[in-house]
Amino acid sequence: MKRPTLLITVVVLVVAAGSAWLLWGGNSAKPTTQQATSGPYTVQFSADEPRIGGNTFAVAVTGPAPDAVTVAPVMAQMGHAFAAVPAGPDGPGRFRAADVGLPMSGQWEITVSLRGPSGPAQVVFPLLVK
Amino acid sequence: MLLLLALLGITLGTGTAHADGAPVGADIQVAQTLGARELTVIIRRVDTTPSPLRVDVVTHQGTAPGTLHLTAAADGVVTSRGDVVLGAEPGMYPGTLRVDKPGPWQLSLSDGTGPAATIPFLVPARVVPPWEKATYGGFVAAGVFLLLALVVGVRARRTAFALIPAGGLVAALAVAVTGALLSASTPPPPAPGSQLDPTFDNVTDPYANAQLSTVDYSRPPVNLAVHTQPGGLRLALTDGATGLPVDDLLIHDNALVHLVVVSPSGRMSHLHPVRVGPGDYRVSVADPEAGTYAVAAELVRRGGGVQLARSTVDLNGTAAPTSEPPGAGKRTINGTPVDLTISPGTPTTVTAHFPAGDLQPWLGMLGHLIVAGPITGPDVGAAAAKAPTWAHVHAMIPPVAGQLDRPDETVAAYGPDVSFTYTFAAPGRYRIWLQAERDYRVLTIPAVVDVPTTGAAR
Repeated sequence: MKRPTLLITVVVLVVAAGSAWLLWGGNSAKPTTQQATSGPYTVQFSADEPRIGGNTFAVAVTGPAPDAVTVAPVMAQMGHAFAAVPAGPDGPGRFRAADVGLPMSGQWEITVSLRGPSGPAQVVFPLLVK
Repeated sequence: MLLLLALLGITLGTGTAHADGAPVGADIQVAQTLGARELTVIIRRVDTTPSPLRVDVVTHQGTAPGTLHLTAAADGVVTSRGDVVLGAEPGMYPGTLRVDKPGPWQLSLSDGTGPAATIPFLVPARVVPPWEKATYGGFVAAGVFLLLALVVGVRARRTAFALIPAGGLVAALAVAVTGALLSASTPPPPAPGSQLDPTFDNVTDPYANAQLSTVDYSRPPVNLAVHTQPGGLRLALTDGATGLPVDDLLIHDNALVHLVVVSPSGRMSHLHPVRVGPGDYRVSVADPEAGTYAVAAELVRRGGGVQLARSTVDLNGTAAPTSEPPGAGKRTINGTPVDLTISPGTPTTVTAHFPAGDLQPWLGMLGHLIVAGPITGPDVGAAAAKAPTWAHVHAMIPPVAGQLDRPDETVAAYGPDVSFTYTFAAPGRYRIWLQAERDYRVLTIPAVVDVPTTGAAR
């Protein structure tokens, strides 16, 4: 007797494809990039897979070049602000703040502060930590 | 049997996903005191993107004609501009902008004089919850397997081979029915906008990072600093826990901030400061008196809960003081005869009888009543600022079952009686100000209420 290999394969494939379609996208922490403007600056903020613990944030500034960039996290729901972390240069108009501690999950707000000859500016980016 | 179960599940599980505090696609009404104009800005619902964004601006009696410049911005970049030409007659004036993606947007209005007023708002996305995907996908797969089983049963050499796709059919049906049955008990993800800070990512897919919070969504109380500036007031709102500017106000009762100011002689103004920057709100005060004003701001931060922040401000001005208003009885306000009756007791009911049932909703309500007291002495502003009772009482418009959008101000069909019930906490002389809108004019009816010692006992 010939086994219905083709039939079994088709059914298994359809079930597997259906399961993958259902589960796909549900549990992947996507990198987030947000953009805001303040005064002469346009600021892009990226966080790769925000998580509890140390995080690395990338800040890209278009417009006049700032002298100093800091990022300061606030746990909005707890009302707890943390000291600002300086972001070092990482190419022209790019800055990177490494090991910014976010000790709990939930809604964070990251204040990016710019200082420079074109004046100070602050922009706030929301960040959801899972 | 499985089909019956599935139908039952679908019938029970018809909950709607709310991507914002308001139902998806509802109109947003925002009162704005822009310069000398008191406007109501109505951002009409957007169902799909990209699409035009209709913005209606309602003017009131005495609003100067002119042109408002509107912009819509996303990511800090202006993507659409339009003008609204306000006529001399009070009424609704339309404008059209364009939005091209769901997420947090910012509408700005400028009258060409001061800084532009900015209103953050959400363009909702159509969100398909995971259980819906499972249910629909499961039923589609079940149908495919059923066809396959039929074909195999008829064409194959052994009829028993049809059991293989039939197994797939049972698995698919199980997925579909489970999804449908779980739909009723699946909690919606935290709502971007009213609970979480909205971003383009989480508005489009609120399930992606969905995690119910371990702590309350509410935020700390605000600190209110009131500064004078030429022509009005500048309000600085800072977070009570971090000192940072507060930029997460939600639209509550059709405004970002309800500012009630009481003049030194007892005139009340109910104003709606415009947002010009994070935590920076401006409002103009027309023709002020000299002396101490009582200031109270009602607002809601993201996460919920109405907050009341009270303060005082000293203004310079030349307006003549007003005298103490009467209690109950007939009077004429801006040409409208009004009869006020006050039924003392615990609680006390204050009713204003207007001449006709042609009142319009203002701020989503039929009427507003501001209560301050007990007040002694002639300096009402300073006394109201220190008064233990400061209340804002509402008279609802009668709700219409099944109507998602609330009527806007063009519906002049309410009244003629506006009734408020309030329980006074202590005996004494209170100042009350009753507000209702008629013929595009917000009528403010001041009165005094003497609460006797016996009437105040609970």
